[in-house]
Amino acid sequence: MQRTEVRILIVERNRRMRDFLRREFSRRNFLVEDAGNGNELFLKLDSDITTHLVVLAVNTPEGLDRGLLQQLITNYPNVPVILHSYLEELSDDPFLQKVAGMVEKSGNLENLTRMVSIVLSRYYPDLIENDKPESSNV
Amino acid sequence: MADKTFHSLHRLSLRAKLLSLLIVLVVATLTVAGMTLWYVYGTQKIFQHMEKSDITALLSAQGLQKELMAQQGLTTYYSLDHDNKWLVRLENNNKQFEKLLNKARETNYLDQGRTILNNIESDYLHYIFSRKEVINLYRKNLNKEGVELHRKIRARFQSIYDLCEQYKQLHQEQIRYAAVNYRNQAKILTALSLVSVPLSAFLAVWIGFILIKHILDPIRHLARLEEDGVPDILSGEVGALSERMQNLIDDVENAYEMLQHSRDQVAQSEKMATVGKLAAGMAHSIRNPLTSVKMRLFSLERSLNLDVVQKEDFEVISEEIRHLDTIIRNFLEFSRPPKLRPQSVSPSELVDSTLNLLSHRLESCGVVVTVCRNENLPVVNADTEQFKEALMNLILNACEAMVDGGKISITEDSMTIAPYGKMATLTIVDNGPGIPALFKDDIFKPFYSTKEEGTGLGLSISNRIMTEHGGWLHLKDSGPQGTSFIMALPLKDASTWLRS
Repeated sequence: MQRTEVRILIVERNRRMRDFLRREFSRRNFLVEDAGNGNELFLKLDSDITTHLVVLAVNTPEGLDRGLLQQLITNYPNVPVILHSYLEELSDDPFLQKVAGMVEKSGNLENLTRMVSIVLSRYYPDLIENDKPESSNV
Repeated sequence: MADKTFHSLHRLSLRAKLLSLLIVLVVATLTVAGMTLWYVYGTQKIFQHMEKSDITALLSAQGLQKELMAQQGLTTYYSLDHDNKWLVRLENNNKQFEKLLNKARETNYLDQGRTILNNIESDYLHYIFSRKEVINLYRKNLNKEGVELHRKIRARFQSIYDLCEQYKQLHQEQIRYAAVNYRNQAKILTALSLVSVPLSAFLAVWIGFILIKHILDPIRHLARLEEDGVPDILSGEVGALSERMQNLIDDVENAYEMLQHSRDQVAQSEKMATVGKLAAGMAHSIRNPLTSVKMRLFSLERSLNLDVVQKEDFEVISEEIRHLDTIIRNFLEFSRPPKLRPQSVSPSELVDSTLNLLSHRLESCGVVVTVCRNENLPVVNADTEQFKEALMNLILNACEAMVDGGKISITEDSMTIAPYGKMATLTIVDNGPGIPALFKDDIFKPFYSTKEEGTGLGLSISNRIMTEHGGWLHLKDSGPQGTSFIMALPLKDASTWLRS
């Protein structure tokens, strides 16, 4: 299976950020879906289309939307989740330990794409067997 | 000697002084009262004795004389008319004489008196016998012989009369002696009264003086303590009481100040919470689009082929965005202070650790830091990361103030500061240009900065961190020679204010 078969669901409230991520991941030959909130996220996950990875970037001024992450991890345990967030704002939520990866939301997209490669190669080794993950310091 | 006694008295406590004086006063009063009782009893005894013995004896002696004279007279009357009624009366007088003589014997208590009475009795018996002979001669009408014998017994009559007089004088002498005795006792009592009454009066005045000077006056002073402060004249128990009261008043004032301080802090905290919430909301709202901008710039940077000028513009934009990001981070940190994770640590270790972290920065700024330390400070309860951040903010501020490099000294100390108790203190002194007097009152206020690119949160965050640790951050001094700050933290055994 090639990258064109891997579907990433980007959950981001900021539309422009969402569009940017969609564009960048599409440019890297991923199939990209996006969602602006929890409802859209679960609608996409419940659809017939398979989602291989969720990049979750839903934040509120009070920190992570705890209910959303808990619902996602509990109801879709087979879908790896990468948390793309302001890490310093995260609380001691036990569900944080169940995410596949965490990336600081900075201006550097490379960190996120690198983490996506790492997670995909860990969860779907046969899917992207030829796509070696880059060494990461995230 | 008197001086020594006075000094000894002066050294006595107020309680001992009052007790001593009261004891002396009571003893003096009781002594006078006892002596008066003794005198009254003695006087009464003298009088009773005098009445029972001497006056009775005196009266008896006078009675004997009277009866004797009457008998002599009746015998003469009988010689004249030989009427038997004189003999009947003579017999009555005789019985009366014997009765008086017996009474005199009963009341007599003197050996000399007894001898006199014996003599009276003996002479009287002889007298009666001779008188009976005289009467018999008159009865037989032997008047001439009767007159002759009658004349002879007159000498015996005179002798008995004299004995009676002697007996009378003896008891008069006893009465005089009792009077002398009475006067002597009265003199003693008078002398005692002359001593004890002034002594009692003196003691009473002294007690009154002590009561007024050492109790009533001090109490009046104490009542006006708030107006006048502690009077210097108070000493001893009342002095201790005054000191205790002053301490209590100080404690109340301290407690009031602390309460006021706490109220101010609560009000400030509420204000800061509101400001922080606003800041957090705003920062978060800005942060997301800013990240989007950063990402797009990052993407652009990789794809564009820029010339030198464009590159410079691009870098400025990137730098300003980073600056914005820093401001936002500070805002968020200020609005959501991390929870304290206190642990036992010596502030000295934290100083070393902070200086180690800042070593490159200090070097690049040309700042030399000196630590004045005799030995490591005692352990405090502190969140190491937050304390380091507080100290770091101070050091970095000093570095920024000293544009061309300079010196910073950190002096470590531990001391007891009322009412907080034992504290560890760090005094951070730089030789920068100092803080302008106009800004001194506002340096700890959030969002207040004199620097072009400052967020105005560094000192505010440091101040809050110290307050949360139960300590404080104070601006000690600032002038053209430099600025000094004091950080104080309660030692571990005194850290009751620590908020966890």
